[in-house]
Amino acid sequence: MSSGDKAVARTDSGARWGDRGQVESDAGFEEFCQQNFVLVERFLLNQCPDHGLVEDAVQEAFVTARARWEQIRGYEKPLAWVYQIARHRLAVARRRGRPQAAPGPDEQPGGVAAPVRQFGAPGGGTGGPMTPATARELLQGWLRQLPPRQAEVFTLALDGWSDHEIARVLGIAYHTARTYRQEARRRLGDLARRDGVEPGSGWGRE
Amino acid sequence: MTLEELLALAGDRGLSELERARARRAARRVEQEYQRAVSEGRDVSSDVDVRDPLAGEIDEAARISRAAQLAQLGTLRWNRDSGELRWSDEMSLIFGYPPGTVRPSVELLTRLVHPDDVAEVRRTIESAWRAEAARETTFRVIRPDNVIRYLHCLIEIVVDRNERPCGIVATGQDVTDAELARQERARLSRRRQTLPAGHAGREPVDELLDRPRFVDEIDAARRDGSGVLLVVAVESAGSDPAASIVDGFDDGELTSRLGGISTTGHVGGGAEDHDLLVAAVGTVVRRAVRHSDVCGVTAPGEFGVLLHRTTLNAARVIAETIVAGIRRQPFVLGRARLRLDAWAGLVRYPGRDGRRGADLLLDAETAWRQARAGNLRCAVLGEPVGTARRPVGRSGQARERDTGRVVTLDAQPILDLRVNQITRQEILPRLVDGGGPHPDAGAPEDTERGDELIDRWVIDHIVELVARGARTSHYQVNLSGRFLADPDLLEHLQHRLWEYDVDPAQLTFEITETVLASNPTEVVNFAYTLRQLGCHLALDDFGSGPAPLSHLTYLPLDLVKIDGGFIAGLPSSRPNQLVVRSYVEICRELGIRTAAGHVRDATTLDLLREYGMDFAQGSLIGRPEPVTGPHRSASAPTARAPRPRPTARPSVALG
Repeated sequence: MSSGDKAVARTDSGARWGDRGQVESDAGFEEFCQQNFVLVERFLLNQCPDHGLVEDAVQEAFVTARARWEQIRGYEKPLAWVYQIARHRLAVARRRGRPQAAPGPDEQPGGVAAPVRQFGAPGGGTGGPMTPATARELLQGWLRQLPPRQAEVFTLALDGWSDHEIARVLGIAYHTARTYRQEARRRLGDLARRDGVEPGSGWGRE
Repeated sequence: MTLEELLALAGDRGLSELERARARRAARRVEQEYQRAVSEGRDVSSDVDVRDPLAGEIDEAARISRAAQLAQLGTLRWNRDSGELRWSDEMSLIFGYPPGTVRPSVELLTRLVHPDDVAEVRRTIESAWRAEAARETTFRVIRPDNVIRYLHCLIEIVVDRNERPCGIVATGQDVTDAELARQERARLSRRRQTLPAGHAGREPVDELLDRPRFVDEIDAARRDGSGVLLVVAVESAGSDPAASIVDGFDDGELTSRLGGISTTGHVGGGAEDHDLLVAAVGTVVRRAVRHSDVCGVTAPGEFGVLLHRTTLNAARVIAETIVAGIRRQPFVLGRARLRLDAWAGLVRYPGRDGRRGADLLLDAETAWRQARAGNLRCAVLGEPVGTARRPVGRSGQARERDTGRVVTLDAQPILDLRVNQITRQEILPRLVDGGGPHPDAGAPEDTERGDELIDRWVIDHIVELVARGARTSHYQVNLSGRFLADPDLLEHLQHRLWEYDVDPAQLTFEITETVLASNPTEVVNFAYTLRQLGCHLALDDFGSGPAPLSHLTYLPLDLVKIDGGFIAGLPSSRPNQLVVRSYVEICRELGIRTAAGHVRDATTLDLLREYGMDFAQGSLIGRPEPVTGPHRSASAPTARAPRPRPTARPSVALG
C-alpha cells in the first residue's frame, strides 16, 4: 500500500498526467486541478488547523502550477511538484502570521484533544457509521499531535506515495522518510489506544 | 473498528459530491486568478524551482540542500570519506557570518554552539549516525558579535548509491522568536500553578454564550482591565441588501439575517440547520481568536467576541480575518450551499468606569451597521484619539505649574542574557531644576517632593514613548509609593494605555521592598489590579528587606530584581554568590524571571549568566541616557539640565 504507483492510479479517472499529450492543455489542467485540489488541501490540513491559510496556500500553488503547466504536465507525477509548492506557500504564510499562532518546528501544538467536527460532514460526530470523512477527521486530530514532519510523511504514505517519493517531495533523506513513517505509525497507535480505538498492526510496519 | 480499518477509510482518495463541487469552483477560481495575473503582467511562478522533484539528482545531500535553499533554510553537510564540513550561505548567516567569509570546520562549529549545548548536540548527532535515523534538536549558537540565537535542526543520514550511510546533512532554521515565546508560555503556566488560587484569573469559556451571559462576561472583563468588543454580523449574501438595512431586531431583519435563513425557503431544514450554521460560523470565529477569548451569539446571525487585553490594531486584524473567512467559504446545509456576507463592528472598553456591557454591545452593533452601510469589512465606533487629538504640551504644563523643577525621562538598556541582546529598557523619571539633576523622582524617599501632576506627566510620557516604539520592545518603570496609594493614578494609566492603544504587556512596573513593607495591603491590591490591566509586575531591591522569599508566594510577580548589594561585589563574595544563585533557582521554579542591576564588570556578568539570570543592567551594559525621540516636545529639552554623557555607546558585545 505504500507503493506510490497506486497513488495516481487511484484518482478518479486513473489518468496519468503527462501521458496524454493529445489532450488540450487548458482542459487538462482544469481536470488536474479538480481532481487534486481537495487532496492537497487534506494534506496541508493535517499539519495546519487554519483553513483560511491552507485554502490560500493551495490556491496559490495551483495558480503557480497553471502558470507552469506546459512544463510540469510532462512529469511522471505533476502532483508531487504541486505538493512541494503548496508546502512552501503555507510555510511562508505561517511565518508571516501571528507568532503565537505558529508553533516552532519541533513544538507540537497543544490542546488539540478532539478534532473539530466538520460542518456538514455526513454522519459526523460520534455514534454514526464511520465514513472516509469522519475517519479523516479523527486521524487529523491525532496527526496534529505528532511532530509536524512525521505527520507530513505519514499523510503522504497513507496517500500512497513511496518512501523515495516522500523524501523527494519533502526534501528529506530516504532514511528519514522511512523511519518517520514507522515512528508516526507507532505514535498513532498510542493515540488511537488512548481514544479507545484498537491500534491493530501491520500498516506501515515492514 | 481498528486503527487499520480507520486508516484504510481515511486513505480513500475518492471525493464526495460536495468536495467535487468545491473542487470545480476551486478550479474556476484558480483559472480566474491566473488570468488576472496574466492581464496584470504578474509572474506568479518566478520564485519556484520548476524541476520535477521525483526525477534526477541521485546525490541525496545535494538534493536536500537544494530543497532547503528553496524553503529558505540553512544546511550543514558532513562527508564521511573526506571528513569535510560545508554549510550553505543561509546557514552562514544564521551563524552570524556573511557568506564566504569563514572556512567551515568542525572546530569552528563546536566553538559556535553554546558551551552548555555542545554535549547534547554531539550526543544527538552520534545517536542519529548509529541508528541511521533522523533526529531533531534545538540548540543555541553564539554569533561572533556574542548574540545568541536558537537554531532548530533536522539531522539526517544520507546514503550513497549502495544505500550505505555516507554523510550527515543538518537542515536548520533560526527559531529564536518561537523559542522565546514558548519559554514565556511555559513560565506563565508555572506562575499560574504557583500563585494562590482565586487570583489566577477567569477560566476560559468554550461554548458560544447567549446574549445575557455574554453581557455578564463583558461586565466581568471590564472590571478586569481594558480590551475590545467585536461583533460580527452575518447575512445570506443572496438576500436583498436594501431590505436588510433595518435598525433594531424587528421581524423584517430577522428573516434576512442568518436566524431567518432557515425559514425563507433558501435551504429548508429548520432549527437543526440553523444550529449547524451557527456552529459553522462559530468555528470560523473561534479559529481566529485566542482560546481564552469569550464568544457568544448575541442575536440571530450575530456573534460577539470579547477580545480582552487586546489592542485595537490587533483586534482589527482579527475582525478582518473573521469577515474574510466567512465571506470566502461557502457554508453547506444539507444539499444546499450558502454564501454569507459579514461585517464587523469594534468598540474599545477602557476598564472600570467605562460604559456598561449592555451599552458596549449596542455600540458594537451600531459599528457593524456602519460598516455595512459604508460597504466596509469592519468599522470602529469611536476611533482612537488621532495624533492631532493626542495630549500635547504636557511637559510644558508640568513646567509652568512648577517652574523650579522639570521632569525628564532617562532610559537605561537592559541586556537579555538568553539572547545577549538589549531587549528592554528601564525608564527613569528624574526631577531636574536649574542646578542639576536630582535623584530619581520615582524613588520613595522623594515622595513628598513631587506632586500628582508630575506623576501624571510621567505616565503620559512613558505611555507615549511605548506607543511610538516598536511593538516588540519592553519597558520597565519604577513606581513611587505615592502611585500605589492613589487609585486615580492607576486609572489614569489605564486611560492612557487605552487612549494610545498600547499593549499593557509591554510595560513592567517595579515596586520596591521598602514600599511593600510600609503598606503591604495597598501594595497587594495595587499589584493585582496592575496585573489585571495586563501590565507586568516586578519587585525591585529583592533581598534587601526581611523575609523576602515570602513575597514571592503571594504577589503576582513576573520579575524580581535582585538587590544591588548582592551584585556589586559578586566575584569576590562566596556568600553573595550562593544567595544570588539560590534566588535565581527559586524564581525560575516559580515562573518568575530574574534581573540583576549594578553590573560593572565582565566577571560578574559571566557569573550571572552561569546562574541562569534572565536580565542584566548596569554601567557595563549601558548607562542611563536621556530619552530622545518625537515624544519630547520642543519646549521640554530647553529646561533640561545638561547631563554627563556616557563615555561610550552601550555595548552589546559582552562575552
